[in-house]
Amino acid sequence: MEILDVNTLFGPLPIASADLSVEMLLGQMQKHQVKSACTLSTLGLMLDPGVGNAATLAACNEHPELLPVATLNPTLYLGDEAPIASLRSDGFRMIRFFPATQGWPIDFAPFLTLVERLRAVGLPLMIEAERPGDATALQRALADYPAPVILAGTDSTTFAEVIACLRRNTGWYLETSRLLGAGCLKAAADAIGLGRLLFGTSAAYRPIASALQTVRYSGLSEPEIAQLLGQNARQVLGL
Amino acid sequence: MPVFDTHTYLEGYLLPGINQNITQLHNLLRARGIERALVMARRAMQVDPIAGNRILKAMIDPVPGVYGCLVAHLNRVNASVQVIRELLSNRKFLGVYLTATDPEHPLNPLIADEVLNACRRYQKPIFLRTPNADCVEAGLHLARTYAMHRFVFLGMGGNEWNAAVRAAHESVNIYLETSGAMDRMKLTAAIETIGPQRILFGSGCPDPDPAAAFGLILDAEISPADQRRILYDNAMRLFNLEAQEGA
Repeated sequence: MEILDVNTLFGPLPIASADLSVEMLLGQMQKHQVKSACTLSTLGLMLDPGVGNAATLAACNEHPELLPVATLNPTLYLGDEAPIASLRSDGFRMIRFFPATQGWPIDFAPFLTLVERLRAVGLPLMIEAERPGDATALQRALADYPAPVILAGTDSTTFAEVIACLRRNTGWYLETSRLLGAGCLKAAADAIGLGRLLFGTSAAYRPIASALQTVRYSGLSEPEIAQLLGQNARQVLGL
Repeated sequence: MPVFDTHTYLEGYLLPGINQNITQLHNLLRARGIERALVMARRAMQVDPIAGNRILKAMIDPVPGVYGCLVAHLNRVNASVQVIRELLSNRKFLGVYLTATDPEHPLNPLIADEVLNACRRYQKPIFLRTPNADCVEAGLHLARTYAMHRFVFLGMGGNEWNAAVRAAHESVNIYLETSGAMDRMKLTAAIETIGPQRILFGSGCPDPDPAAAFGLILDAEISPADQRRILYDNAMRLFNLEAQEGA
């Protein structure tokens, strides 16, 4: 069973008590037989997207099992188009946004500007939908986005909202790292289809074992688990 | 390895068929290899402390390995004191959980005093929810004031688990329960600071699934002996179950 984790990170993180090194991430992946992982540097998330994206590319060039994910921060975006236009040619597989972590609303002019520019790039977007109302607002902001949209950070508090949004938007997917409530994975699969769930962990910060154990006790069959752990993500990322 | 989950809930979950009655909850726990569990009634937290605790007692009475944690609500002090006097001497109730209207906010110590005084004669652990450092600080104040009680910090401070570890270091009647932040580092840091004897495995079942909470233990770099203490032995000792069941 080939496991592809769509949500990992490395680098310094204030809420973690130690730096999350690339080696730590690779060690966790090896321990749990995770074959490949989409990843990004926390420098892009917490400090400067340009610096972080460069660190991400450097780490992924050195370790081919890591797939580079770009991050953009609308609160720091002044309209420069060049870095956006080159994201695909730089080798990034996906772009991530962190509205809850970075403290900006979905209905936010620089974010809407960025989304307009990213339409031409056509890479999948992964975006936090942690706060109530965010997934609903994303329906307007990302209407007719030409590539897959992946909602991340959903837990039981936003589960009903996210499921309602995914039912309306068939090109949208759900990342599972925070979907740890008993029965939630199976309920999501029943509601929107197993093919729209992408396995993620938030390693190296969070334990991969927690996400894997949740899948193991989800009530899904072995073939369904194999699909969730890897096949769905490979299809969405075009691997 | 036996597992004692010290933090589970009856009712109040978004999915049906998971924890609406003790049979469903017990089946879920057994399927994950959990031998014993402490259950709190959401109904007592959110609606009615008297009815919620009475219903819980009726449900857990016939089920071996499943115990109750009585819920005392600080906005319903008279009802809470009444139900403490009615139920807390029962051997199936192993502790008291203090809560108020907003569990994200620290408990008011003046109101908690009345309930804690009512609990004195029973000598059972007091459970406090500690999702942040403010709640940890309030819990530490109570632990220092009521040195005769043992306090269990549910969620061990959330993302601010360093504060909970520090509080447990300062006051030896504080125990840390492992739910809260899914941070791989927190257990090793806690063991380094206070040792493994005052750390209890708990999940917050059904959210998260105890399997996910167990994953945190699996991925923490701790010895098998410490794993066993956290997963089972510490709870058995705290609740005095070894002595009771050996008698």
